Amino acid sequence: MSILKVNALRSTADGQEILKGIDLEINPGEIHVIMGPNGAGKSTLANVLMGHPAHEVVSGEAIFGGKVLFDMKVDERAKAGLFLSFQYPQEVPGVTVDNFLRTSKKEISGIMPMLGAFKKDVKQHMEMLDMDQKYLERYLNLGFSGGEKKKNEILQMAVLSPKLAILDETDSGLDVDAIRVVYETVQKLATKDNAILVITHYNKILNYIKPDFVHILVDGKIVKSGDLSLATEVEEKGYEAFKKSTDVNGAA
Amino acid sequence: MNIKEHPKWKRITLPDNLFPESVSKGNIRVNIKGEGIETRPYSEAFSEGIIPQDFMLEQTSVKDLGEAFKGYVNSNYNKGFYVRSESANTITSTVRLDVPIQGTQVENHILVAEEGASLNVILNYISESNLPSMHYGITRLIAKRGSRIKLIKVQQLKPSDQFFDQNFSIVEDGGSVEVVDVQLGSGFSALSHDSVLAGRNSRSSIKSLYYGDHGSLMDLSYTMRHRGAHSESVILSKGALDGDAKKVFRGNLIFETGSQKSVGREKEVVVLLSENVKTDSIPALLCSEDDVIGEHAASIGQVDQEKLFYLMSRGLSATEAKKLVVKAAFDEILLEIDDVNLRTQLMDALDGRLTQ
Repeated sequence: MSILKVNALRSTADGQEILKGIDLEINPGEIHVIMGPNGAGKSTLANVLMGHPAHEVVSGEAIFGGKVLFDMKVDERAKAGLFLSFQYPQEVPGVTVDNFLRTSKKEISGIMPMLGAFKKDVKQHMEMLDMDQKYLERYLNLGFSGGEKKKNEILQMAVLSPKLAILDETDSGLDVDAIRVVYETVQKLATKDNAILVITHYNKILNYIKPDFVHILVDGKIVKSGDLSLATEVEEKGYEAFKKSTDVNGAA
Repeated sequence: MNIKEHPKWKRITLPDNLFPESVSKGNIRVNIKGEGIETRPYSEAFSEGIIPQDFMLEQTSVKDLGEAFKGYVNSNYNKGFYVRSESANTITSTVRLDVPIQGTQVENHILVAEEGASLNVILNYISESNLPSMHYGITRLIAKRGSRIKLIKVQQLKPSDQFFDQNFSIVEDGGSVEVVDVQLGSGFSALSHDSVLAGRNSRSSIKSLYYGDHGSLMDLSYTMRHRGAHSESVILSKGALDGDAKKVFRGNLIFETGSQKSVGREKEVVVLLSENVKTDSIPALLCSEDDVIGEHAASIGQVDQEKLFYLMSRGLSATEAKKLVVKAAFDEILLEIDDVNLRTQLMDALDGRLTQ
């Protein structure tokens, strides 16, 4: 059974249509990459799937782990195993990273994590991400650099071990070394039972992560799907070639 | 005592049953840590004439809970302490007063830090009766040259209680007064903190935290009067309002002649948890001296949607997420409370209130 199946999804924000019919199926053990130009609706897709209140689903459906995704509240989606690594993680003064990780783990797993094992787990992931342990005692994302915020997102992903992790432009704001560390970690977190959906407009990350599928999203629609070779095609031709194909479709 | 003058407030209607006969019940529990601290009942200190008359602070204050209030407290008080510190130890010189409120309690307190001395005082107000009760009190703080007073006032009364509280402080050269005011309970609270930064390089701060829900009415007034040159003041108020709570915040920064090179900053943060709350903010900046800095900032609004979405995406329910944001906003003030047990107890109490 697939982890996520999206059919003909259309959405609006502020009355404007952004997603214009998305079909997407993600199975356990798969890594998908969605690429597309700025303003194509990539982040919107991530936000709609997670349940951002500013986006309205107009039509279409999504089944996540056998349940109707759009019937679930944001926290219910998280508890069902959906995770979003935010493009702009929020700062929460007064709550330490350590406290937040434990609270979140407790909410999602339903039980308070065993302190010893949990600490060891967190430490191990932080080492993998090349993160200083002192971040645990700092307030969540407060005063973190762009790179530290993104690493902190992946740390949460590692600790929460979701069924499907959506990474919304996790590479933006990162230097080359951080991109490598982050995506190598993401690749290591991939198992045969979970799935990862990576959203990017930058194919450098494909040096560190090996997707099974690449989708090109242009103007609210997936215009082409394929394997890694599609990313090479983008590199050579740019998105313009794909944009033209939608114009043709639109005219027809 | 018969008071003909019924105080009038423009924004919050006062209860009708003001100034009843005072009834003394329950004793204030006193806990003193450290050497060089003298405490005695206010009445005793008053009759022995050791209350420093040259600090009749009432005269220096203009805006407060009113003449009627002052007169009532001064002639009806049934509780209160005179606390004086000669200790230079900033950590151990601590007096904790746990004040049970039963019936109508009228209090007069005076806190004095001698030159170079340090004094930490906690006044913790708790309900110890199921009947509606009231507190009327005046606390005077005198920080002499180079001394430091830190006063933590905590009010955790039940919703049927009322809390009227007036604080005056005067800070001499190089002295400092820090007040942390935590208002978590009582259906009606009216309080005023008025600080006179009399000396050069004097400092005064008030950090206030409040939570109001169904039926809560609050009138909070904070005034900093800069008289000495190079004086520095801070008013920081953080609160959350739920249900149909109503609150008025008045923050006054006054720079009098002679207060050149002084800095006063006020900031208010209010988190609105319901659409039915009412919050008024009245900041004022009055300058008779031109070489001063006065700043005001306010942030009033619902819990940020983006923040809620982020927290909910990590499995927290909307309620839990809101709670976390409110507690996070309060953290800055709660961390000012050095007594770990009291701080933990307040965090738990807040947690309970936010869950309701």
